[in-house]
Amino acid sequence: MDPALVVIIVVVTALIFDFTNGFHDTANAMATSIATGALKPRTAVALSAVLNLVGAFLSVEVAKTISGGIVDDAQITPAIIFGGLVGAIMWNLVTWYAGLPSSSSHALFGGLIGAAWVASGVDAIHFAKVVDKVLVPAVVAPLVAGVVAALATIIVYRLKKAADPRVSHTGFKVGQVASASLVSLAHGTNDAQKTMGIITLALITSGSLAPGSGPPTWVIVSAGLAIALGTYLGGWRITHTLGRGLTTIEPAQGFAAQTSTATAILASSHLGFALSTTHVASGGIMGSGLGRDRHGVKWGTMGKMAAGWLLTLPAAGIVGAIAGKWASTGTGGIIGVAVIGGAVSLGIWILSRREPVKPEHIVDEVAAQAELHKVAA
Amino acid sequence: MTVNWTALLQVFGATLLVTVLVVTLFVLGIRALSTDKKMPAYASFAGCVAVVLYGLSLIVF
Repeated sequence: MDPALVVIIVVVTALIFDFTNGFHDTANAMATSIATGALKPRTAVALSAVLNLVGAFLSVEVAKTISGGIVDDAQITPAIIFGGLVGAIMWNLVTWYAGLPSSSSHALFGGLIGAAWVASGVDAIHFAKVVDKVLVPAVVAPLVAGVVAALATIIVYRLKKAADPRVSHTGFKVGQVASASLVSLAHGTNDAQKTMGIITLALITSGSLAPGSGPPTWVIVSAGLAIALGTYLGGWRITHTLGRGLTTIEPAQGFAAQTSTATAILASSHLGFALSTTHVASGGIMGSGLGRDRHGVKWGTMGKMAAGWLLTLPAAGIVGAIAGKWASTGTGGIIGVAVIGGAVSLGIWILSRREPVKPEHIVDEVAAQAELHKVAA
Repeated sequence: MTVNWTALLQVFGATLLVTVLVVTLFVLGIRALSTDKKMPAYASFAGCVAVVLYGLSLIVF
């Protein structure tokens, strides 16, 4: 197959991945605002989409981590990248359908590493860089967000006692929307850049760009648009788990959690850490839950989420390895991977249409929950 | 295999400092607002905005 055509296929697939990433991750930024009623679901999602787009233009550090670090660009081909991407997309769709907030980012790294490893050998992976820029931040960043969110929540709840409850309720709803917006912006800086990095890597491996190049402008623009569109169109299913299943959230607490999450992601993006925004957001929500009430966190739900996180890298890695090996065998392999990837995606989409979760359902359930609290009080 | 702990420490330090600063200013603003002290309230909220904009400017430039 013409190498230029393979690169075009990779670019399109990477943008589809970016779209599913936005689709998957709207929840991170907007879950708490929707759950507390600070924003209507549709407004929340539209705002988040625009800010994701803006965020994509803020930095290229994370893109450089991916295009110039974790795999050896001399040893892999665009076909291998294609295999890795298909692995990542399939894992993303499966976890999305199951309502599990797994990490799109880790699915991407898993897919890419699995594909490169099997198709080109273990030398094609720069493990030191993977540990330094991906694995260690993956553990540290959610902990940082969690610890800081706990502290911020304690400060907020201590200091707000002296305030008029009505003023503070309205005030924190505004604060929550502002901090949710920052999370969306942060999300754009970290996640949109991963797609930019992948496309740039494909361009480098095909010889269109010099090794070590940053993403060209058209790559930045298209990646930003794809994630924004995905954010706008998706995410209800996961918002459901993250907004209410994890811990019950008040506006003041959402504000503290999100301020911490946004700062942790932005600081990490600036240093080129390609981390999972989903994990950091969950860390922030957990931390603030602990800061408010030591007994208020549903550890069972947390355990299930952590299991999903641990599974992501190897699971996407295995799918990516199979797809990457097959795609690297030639034209037939690329077509085969594309057909199977397309069929699985279509299947999950049809399944999800059977029991659609609409934004209105979430609002209704929040209202119902508020009623329960009134009765209890 | 070297892990850049300094960078991780920077992330922790920056997150801690910025978050504590922003939430403290914001709550003080809300307290001032509930006792009808308009000026200190607006000064606090302006402080929050300034911290956020400064942080973003560090990333962009």
